[in-house]
Amino acid sequence: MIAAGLLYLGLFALAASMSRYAELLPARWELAKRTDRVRLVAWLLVLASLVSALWSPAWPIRLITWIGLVPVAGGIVLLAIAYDMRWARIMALLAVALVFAGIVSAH
Amino acid sequence: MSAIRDGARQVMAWLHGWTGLLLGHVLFVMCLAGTLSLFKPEIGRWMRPEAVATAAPADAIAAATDWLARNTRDSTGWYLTVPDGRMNTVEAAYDSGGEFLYRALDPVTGASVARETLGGEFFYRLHFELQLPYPWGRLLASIAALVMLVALITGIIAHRRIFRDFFTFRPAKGQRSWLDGHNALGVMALPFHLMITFTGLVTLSSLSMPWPITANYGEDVMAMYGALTPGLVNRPAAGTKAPLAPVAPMLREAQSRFGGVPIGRVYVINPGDAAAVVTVYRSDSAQIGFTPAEISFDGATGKMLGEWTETRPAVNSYNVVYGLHMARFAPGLLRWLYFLGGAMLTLAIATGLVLWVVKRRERAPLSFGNRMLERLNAGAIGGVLLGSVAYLWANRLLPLGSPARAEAEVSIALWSTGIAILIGIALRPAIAWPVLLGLLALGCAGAALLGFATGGLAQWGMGLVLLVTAAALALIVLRQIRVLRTPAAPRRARTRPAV
Repeated sequence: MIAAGLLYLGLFALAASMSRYAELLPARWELAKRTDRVRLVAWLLVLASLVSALWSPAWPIRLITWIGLVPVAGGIVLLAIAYDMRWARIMALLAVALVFAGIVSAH
Repeated sequence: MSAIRDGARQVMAWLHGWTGLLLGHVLFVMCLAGTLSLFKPEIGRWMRPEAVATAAPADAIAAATDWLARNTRDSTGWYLTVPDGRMNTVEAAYDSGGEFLYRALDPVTGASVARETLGGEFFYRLHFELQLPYPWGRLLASIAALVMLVALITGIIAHRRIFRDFFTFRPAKGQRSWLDGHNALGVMALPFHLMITFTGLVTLSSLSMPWPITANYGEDVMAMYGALTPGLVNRPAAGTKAPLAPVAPMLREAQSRFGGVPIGRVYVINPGDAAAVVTVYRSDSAQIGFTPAEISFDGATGKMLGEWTETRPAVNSYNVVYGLHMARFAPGLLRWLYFLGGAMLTLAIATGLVLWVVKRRERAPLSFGNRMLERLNAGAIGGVLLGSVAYLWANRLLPLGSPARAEAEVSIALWSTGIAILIGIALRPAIAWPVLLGLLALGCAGAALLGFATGGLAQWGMGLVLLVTAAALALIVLRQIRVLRTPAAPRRARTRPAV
């Protein structure tokens, strides 16, 4: 759950770091001027997602699962960007909830 | 430097296009069949609705060997796959009276299931044998996998902005949409595509790269197999008849020696002979690497003859690669992710084939070859899918006792594909696509309803998948019909035919 949520957030942020999709994030954040930072955060989130996926004795299967999750998360971002950006934001909120749910259930 | 880089990219794009085109239709069949065979047991179960009984693996194998002992003659071997949580029948491959047969056996009675069918095995075999005789099908599949790997690598190099393509899809924009769709499908699941292509290539490497084998073993293939499976107890038939000792105790003994890991397969060599050997294999569903572990018993006495587990690093490395491709280890979610990756690769190939034509049509009038390709695309892509659905229809509509029923199902699938290809070639592509996809939507919905009518709700999962597919296809067809009714926009000026 944590890995899936972080992966979605990472890919969402990666898309938002591109000038073409900057409107994914609220305009008042003025992130358009700081795309490099957003990109860095995006890659860190993707990396954190990979690390959390591998943090298990069953890491080989979880690595393959993580690779399989990339097109799922990426596909949601892509379709939302293509048809209605609001969905990408709603899914980002759900991804945050997924990460929290994962942390809570892990403890 | 930039000019050199751009030139290299152009060469790679050229190679990507031509390699994809060369064996694109073969790759489409392979990827579709491979993706479907991820659910081989579930498809088999849907196709045998009468076989509802379940039994413990040891009991099912005992029942199967009893039935085979009574119903086969001059058999040299029975190769049995043990039922598990996904498949309730024993899958048996055996020879009898000189004929090699493949049957699903009831786990309680051991008898061949009334609805004789290959089930999901058809898609599995189609994936790497392409319905061609040995070794041609496997050889072609191996070459196609190599071409796929080249297409993937050249596709990566040809891309300028791989991460931008990750999020770019501009719908309803003609060539641009096809290009975006092809790129997104290819890039998003790229690690999966590279993994599945490479592992597939390695799986068939003995055919595509046989020279290490011939250098070490010459023409003696049996010596190679002997070295590959040194634990295998194989002995010639004694020529003296002897009944098979009870199998259940051998299976219990094997399972306890496997440390509780379930049994995967049971082979009986020389059945009914004094020199019979029963070899029990560990299931490979618990680990990525397909690590052979086997225990052999004397078939006549039930005494253990040998025990062996593969420990050689090189062989185990190969087995991990093989296991990654087969995905037998994959639990539910991961299996669906494999399915998604496979479906994306299949769609990437299909969109690539369509894109080849769309790109050239927007530049200039199509040449004769490209016009034929455009029609072949509609026929082949729609036809292979229609053939798969016709296979399901045949399974439900052919009489249970008809001779060579399983072969008839396959013939119907192939004939349906052939007819659909002819329809695709005969009709204008703008008509052929909605006709074939419309038939496919009806076929999927019909197969689901036939499944519910003849098998009840027991196999609801596959029925649901078929209905969802039918609904998605219906939406696409409706859109195509709407486009067909819209008056055509004036085209760009055309100059010279595209090559």
